[in-house]
Amino acid sequence: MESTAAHEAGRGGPVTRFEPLGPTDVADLLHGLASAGAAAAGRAVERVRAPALFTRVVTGLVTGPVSSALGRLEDRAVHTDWSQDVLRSGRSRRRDLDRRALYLARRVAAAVVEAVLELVDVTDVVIDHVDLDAVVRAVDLDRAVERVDLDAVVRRVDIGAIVDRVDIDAIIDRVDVDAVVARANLDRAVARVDIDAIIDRVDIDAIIDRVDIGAIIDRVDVDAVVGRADLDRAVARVDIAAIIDRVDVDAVVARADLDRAVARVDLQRIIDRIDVDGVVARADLDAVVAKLDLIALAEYVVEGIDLPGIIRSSTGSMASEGLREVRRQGIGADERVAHVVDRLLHRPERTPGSTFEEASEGSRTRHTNRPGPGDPGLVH
Amino acid sequence: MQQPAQPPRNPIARIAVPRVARPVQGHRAGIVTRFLAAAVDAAVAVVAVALGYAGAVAAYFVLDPRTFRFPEPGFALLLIAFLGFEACYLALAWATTGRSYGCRLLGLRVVDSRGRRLRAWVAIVRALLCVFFPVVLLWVVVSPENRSGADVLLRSSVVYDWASASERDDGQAEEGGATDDGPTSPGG
Repeated sequence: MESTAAHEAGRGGPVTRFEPLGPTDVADLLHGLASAGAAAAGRAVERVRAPALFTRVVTGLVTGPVSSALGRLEDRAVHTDWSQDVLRSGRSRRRDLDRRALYLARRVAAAVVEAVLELVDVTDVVIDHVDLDAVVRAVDLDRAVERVDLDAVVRRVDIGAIVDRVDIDAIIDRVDVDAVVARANLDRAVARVDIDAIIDRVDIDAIIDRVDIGAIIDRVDVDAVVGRADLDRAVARVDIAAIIDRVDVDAVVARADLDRAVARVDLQRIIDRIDVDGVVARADLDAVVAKLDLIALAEYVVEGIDLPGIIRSSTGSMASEGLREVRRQGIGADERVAHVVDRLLHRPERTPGSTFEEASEGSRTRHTNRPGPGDPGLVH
Repeated sequence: MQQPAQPPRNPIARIAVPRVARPVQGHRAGIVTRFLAAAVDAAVAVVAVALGYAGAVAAYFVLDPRTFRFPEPGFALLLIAFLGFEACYLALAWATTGRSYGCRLLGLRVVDSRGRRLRAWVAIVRALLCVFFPVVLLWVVVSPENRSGADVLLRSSVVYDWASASERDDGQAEEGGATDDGPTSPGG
C-alpha cells in the first residue's frame, strides 16, 4: 500500500505513496473506525448514561452526517498516517473478530447440527432430495480408485476369518444353480477356454497316482453300465478287419492251451448240428471209390469175418432152425426166471454183464430193445 | 488204403447169429439154459457109462463066452463111473473148447473173467465142483450177475455164444491171453 516514490514525486522529499484501497482494506478501515467509535461511545455512555429516547434521537441525527463524513474520511484516511493506524487497528480487530466468530460459529454449528440431526432423518432427506445418480456421475471413480492402495487394503484383510464366518452351505442353498446355468452362455464360455493349455497344465500322473482305481471299480455297477451301453452300435463302429490285421494270430495260438479248449468243446453237440446227409450228398463218392483198392479191401473183409466159419455156422447141424428155437426159448426162460426172482427179492432187474467186447453195447441194447412178452424173439 | 490194425472181433456172431439173439451174445446165461445144458451133459455121461458097460460086457463075452453072464457092477460103481466120466469130460471140454456138448447145443461157452478159455486147473476144479456139488448151480437163480457158486469161486462165467467157429476162436483167445489184458472175445 505504501510507496515512497509517490511522496518523493509530490513533495520533493521522501514521500510515502499509498496504493488504492481494496474492498478488504475499506472493510478493515470501517471496522477500525467502528471499533474506535464504539470504544469512545462506551466510555461516553459510562460517563453520561443518557436516556434511551435521547440516544435514538442523537443516533438518528448523527447517522446521516456520520455516513457522509465516513465517505469523505475514506479519501483522506488513505493519505494520512492516522488513517494507517486506524487501518491497522481495524485489521487487527477484524482478525480478532474472525477468530471469535469462527470459534463461536463452531460451537453454534455443532450444537445446531446435533439438534437438527435429532429432528431430521438425514438418510431420508438424502434419498429424497439428493440426486445420487448425478452425484455418482460427478465423481471421478477412476481417479478415486487409482488413489486407493488396494495392495495395502488386501494385506489388512483377514481373508481366513472372513471365510470362516461365511456360511457356504447357506449361500449355496440360496443359489439357484439352474437359473444361473440357464442364463450362462456356456457355448461362448467354452469357446473361450483354451483346452490345450489346461491339459498341458494338468499333471495327469499325479492325479492317477491319487486315484483309488480299486475303490472306483468297486462302486461301479458294471452290469448296469453294460446294460445301458448300445453294444451293437459300438461293435458296428469297430473296424474288425483292421483289428484282425494287427493281431499276431500265430503268437496267440502259440500261447493258447488248445488241449484244454478242445476238452471244453461239446463235440457231440457240434456233430449233432452237422448235416451229414448234406455233406454226403455233396461228396463225390465215385471219385472216392475210384481211389480205393477194392481188392485189398475185400481180402481184408473176408479175413476179418472168417467167411469159412460163417458158412459152417449157417449150414451145420448146430445152426438148424430147431436148435435155434431151443436156444431162443432157453434165453427167454432165463429172463423170465430172473425177472420173477428179482421181483420176489424186491431188487432192481439184474445185469448179467458181458465178457464180450461188443457185449457192452449189447447190454445197452438189451435194456432198451428188450423183447416184450409178446415179442416172437427171445421170449418164445 | 490204410486198414485197421486188427479186424473186428467176433464178426461171425454179428453175421451168423439171428438178429434177435445178437444183443445177448456174451451175456451170462440164466438158470434154465444152464440147467438144460447140464442135463444134456448128464445124459451124455449116462450114455457114456452105458456104452462103457456095453463095452465091458462085450469084452467079457469075448474073453470067456462059456461062463459069460452080464456083470452087476452095482449102483455105487455106476455112480462113481458116471461122476468120474462127467468130471473128466467137462474138465476136458472146458479146458479145450470151452464147450461141452450140452453147451454147444444150448449155445453156451465157459470163459474166465477176461472172456478167455479156462486154464486147465480151473477147468478141473470147476468140473469137480459142478459134478460133486451140483447145488452150486442154483446160485444162478439169486445171483444178480447170473453167476453160479463155482463161477463166484473161480471167477468164471457161462455166456451165450451161438457162434461156433471154435477152432479159430480158440486161436484168437490164445493170442489175446498172451498179449491183451482187456476183455477179448472167446467167440470171435
